[in-house]
Amino acid sequence: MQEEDLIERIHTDDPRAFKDLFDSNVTLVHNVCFRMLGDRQDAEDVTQEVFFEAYKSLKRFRFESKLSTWLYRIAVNRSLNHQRKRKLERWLSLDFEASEDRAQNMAFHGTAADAPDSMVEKKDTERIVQEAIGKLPKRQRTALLLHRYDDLPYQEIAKIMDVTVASVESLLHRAKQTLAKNLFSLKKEL
Amino acid sequence: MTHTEIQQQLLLYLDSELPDKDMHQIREHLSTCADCAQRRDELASVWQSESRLEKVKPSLFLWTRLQARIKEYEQTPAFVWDLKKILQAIPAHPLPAVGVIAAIVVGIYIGTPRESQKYGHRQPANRSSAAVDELGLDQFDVIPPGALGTTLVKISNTRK
Repeated sequence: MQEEDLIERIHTDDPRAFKDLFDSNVTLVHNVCFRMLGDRQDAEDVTQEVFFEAYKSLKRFRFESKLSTWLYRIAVNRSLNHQRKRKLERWLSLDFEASEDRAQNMAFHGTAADAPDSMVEKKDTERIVQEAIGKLPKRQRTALLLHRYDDLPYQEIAKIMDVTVASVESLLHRAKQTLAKNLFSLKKEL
Repeated sequence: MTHTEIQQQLLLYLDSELPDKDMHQIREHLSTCADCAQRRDELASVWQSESRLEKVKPSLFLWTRLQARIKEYEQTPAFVWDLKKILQAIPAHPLPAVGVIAAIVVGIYIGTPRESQKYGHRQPANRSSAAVDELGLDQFDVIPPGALGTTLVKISNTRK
């Protein structure tokens, strides 16, 4: 389905249009949120926030970017806000024992116990990568997640993060250098 | 390039994101350095794993929850909705934070010297002013010799 058609239907108050938009983008948005937050429940809450925000602002959408880029942008911003809010809440409730950053402690795709050996190994490997990514600075992490897991071109990442393409290149370059170091040290710990 | 520099560039090398000259230099180095080559293989196994392509499925109830929220939004007047948003921004467990802030305020209050402690060294001057008042003098008048001492003693005795 063409994005323009979908938006047109939303503008003409077609009751099915928003559900169609939700169905075709919910996996994308949910996965972005999950990778940024590292927690299924938080990811679901933020996914709901993203679509709610989209619902409220859709009538103002002017096709200056792709619909998916716009949703990515809301998802990234909402996830970062959610992370900040969680940190503040932990600080206010003096819950310093809780993990400092859930993104550093990801339970990727459920528990290892319910998977066969080869799957466990794959999950462990991915967990190591995600843990290392979670230790990166916020902007480097965002750029790398969009690049690695969504295969987005630099131009689109730049639009989502509201930076230049050169900045994205630089962020990814630095992210991969730091990540190589983090991955070695995490592998050593195992 | 040193071993450390090579190892730092390995992810960029694996993704072929380095200039040709650097790619060539690293390739040459890896063909002769067993340690760096082993690190390249380790990184490649982790970094190029296919599991990154797997997607997490959201809950089936997500649409139902969203629908309910949209319905509530549509039926709520704008100002009530804004008020709810403000209330939601207040943290769920503010008590410990309020406790810490109260402790800081009390600490600052206790730690701040009182007026009398702060200007303790000026007490004689204050007593002199009291003596000047007692004598009914203007602050610029010349104090009669002996009068100030006598009055000060008098005031001290009265305060005791």
